[in-house]
Amino acid sequence: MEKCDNKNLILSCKDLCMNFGGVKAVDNLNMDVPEGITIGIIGPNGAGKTTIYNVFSRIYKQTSGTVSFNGQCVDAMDQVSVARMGLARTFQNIRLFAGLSVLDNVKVSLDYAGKYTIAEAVFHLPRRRKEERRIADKAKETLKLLNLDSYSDKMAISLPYGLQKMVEIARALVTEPKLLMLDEPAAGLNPEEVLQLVDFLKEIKNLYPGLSILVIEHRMDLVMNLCDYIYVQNFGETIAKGTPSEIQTNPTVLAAYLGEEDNE
Amino acid sequence: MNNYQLGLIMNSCISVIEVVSVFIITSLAGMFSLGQAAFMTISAYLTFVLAKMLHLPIILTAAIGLGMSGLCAYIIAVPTLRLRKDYFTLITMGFGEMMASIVVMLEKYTKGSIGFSSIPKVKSIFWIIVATTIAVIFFAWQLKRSRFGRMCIALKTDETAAKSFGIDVYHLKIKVYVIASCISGLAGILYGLKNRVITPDGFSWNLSAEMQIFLFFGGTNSLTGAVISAFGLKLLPEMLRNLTLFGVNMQEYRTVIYCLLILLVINFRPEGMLGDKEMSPSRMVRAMKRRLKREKS
Ligand SMILES: Nc1ncnc2c1ncn2[C@@H]1O[C@H](COP(=O)(O)OP(=O)(O)O)[C@@H](O)[C@H]1O
Ligand SMILES: [Mg+2]
Repeated sequence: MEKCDNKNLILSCKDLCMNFGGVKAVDNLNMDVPEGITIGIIGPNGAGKTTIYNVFSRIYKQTSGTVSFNGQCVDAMDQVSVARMGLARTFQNIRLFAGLSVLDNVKVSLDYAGKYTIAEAVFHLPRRRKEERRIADKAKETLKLLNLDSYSDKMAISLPYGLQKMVEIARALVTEPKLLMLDEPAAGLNPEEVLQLVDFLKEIKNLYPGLSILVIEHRMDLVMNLCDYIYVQNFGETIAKGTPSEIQTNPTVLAAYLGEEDNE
Repeated sequence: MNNYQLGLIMNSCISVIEVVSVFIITSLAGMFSLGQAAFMTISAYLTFVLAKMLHLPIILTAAIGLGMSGLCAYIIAVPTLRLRKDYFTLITMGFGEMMASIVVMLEKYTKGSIGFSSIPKVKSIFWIIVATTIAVIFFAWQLKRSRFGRMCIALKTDETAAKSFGIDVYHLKIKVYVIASCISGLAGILYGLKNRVITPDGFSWNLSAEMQIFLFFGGTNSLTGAVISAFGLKLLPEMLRNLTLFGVNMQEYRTVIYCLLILLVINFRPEGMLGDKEMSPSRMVRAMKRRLKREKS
């Protein structure tokens, strides 16, 4: 197992490949995510962006290469362990828990670490009461911080789409993760909602200065606005990487990706 | 109330306990078991056969019976919950049939299909059953409202998402299945104490299916719905005792009636009578107030 001991890197992957049969969804990816930095991943549909997240969050085991998170090699770990280490994510399509209110959706993130047993739960013992209060307080605090507290008691899946996206992000943030991975947060939003989301994400960057963020996004304006560094993916390969201004003037990117968008 | 009426209430209470166990498995954790009657068999037979053979007090053998239900549930859950959901359902169904045949096979101890009837008479059985039912409902209610309930509802909706929030889906499901199967076992013991005879037919596949029907009728995510429907639907055939249709007692149409009810529910209220709403006094007061307001205006 490779040792990864760069302290300032929250996540790093080396020569990462993920094949599905003959499809090279991720081809030799090298990515470093330093602490407190927002990194954008852009690229056309099918470029393998979501697959990168799925490997980082251990839904898939990579074909080759190594991933380290928080200074630890996670190649042998499963989804639950890396989540508990502080890797939080959202999904491309909304995956809020139906049957739970907004508040409960946020509480669920804290629940695995709740300090009471099933026996204490069913007999309603003091430790349960204390822990439930702590969990509720923490969840409410996060919702308030993100200005979502007025929706606490609503069923999560009954909210408008844009709000659901924000609740999903709140749910991911409540555990104060080290890395937040957002998969196309602006997809399916109307222009007004996109503006709200950009403000929302900027606010999050202010509120959680140590948090590293990965964001997959199609909208160039959003990426250029939010990200400190950008990876451009195409057919699993990184065709360019750099700061937003570098990417905007990169001839390869202009030809392969931005040009394509202009034609639409 | 006469003995007959008390008996009906006891039957309904036992049915409530059974359905609460299925509620925990299906409505909370999203698993579909078709063999919960098997745990009634295990607990009931162990409790009463051991009590007779070893001359032990029932309270002790009941603990052994419940422990054995939990252990069997654990043994079923560990390999099958790693597989696809339908395998779990198949295995539980097979397990149910297996238990019934084991009872017949061990005729020497269990009296086979004739039924085992050396069951001691217990004083104030009515109150024991009512109190146990209330306690079981309370436990399930607390479970649903705890972090375990929330995690279960989350994993039921979306296992992958649940895992990405640190929820150990596999072990949580095992835990929940073991607890629910102990509750099924409890229903089996109470059934034996009430009827003073247990037969393998009494805990057949029909009963496991009946529990699921009651649950779906009441509401796929509602504990109060499940309780009310389990109590009421168990009582329903008895209400029809004095009616006949085509010269046959209405009670004989029990299964037909249940099937009709299920068809109606599926068509008109696919989430069950209460869906995922819980009935509570405060909610009912609120609903009444809203209605009054509407009538005034
Ligand atoms: N579980 C899977 N099985 C097979 N192929 C997959 C799987 N997941 C993704 N792929 C393939 O990998 C490629 C990249 O997909 P994806 O990561 O979803 O792209 P993007 O998110 O950039 O649109 C696609 O060709 C897709 O068909
Ligand atoms: Mg994608």
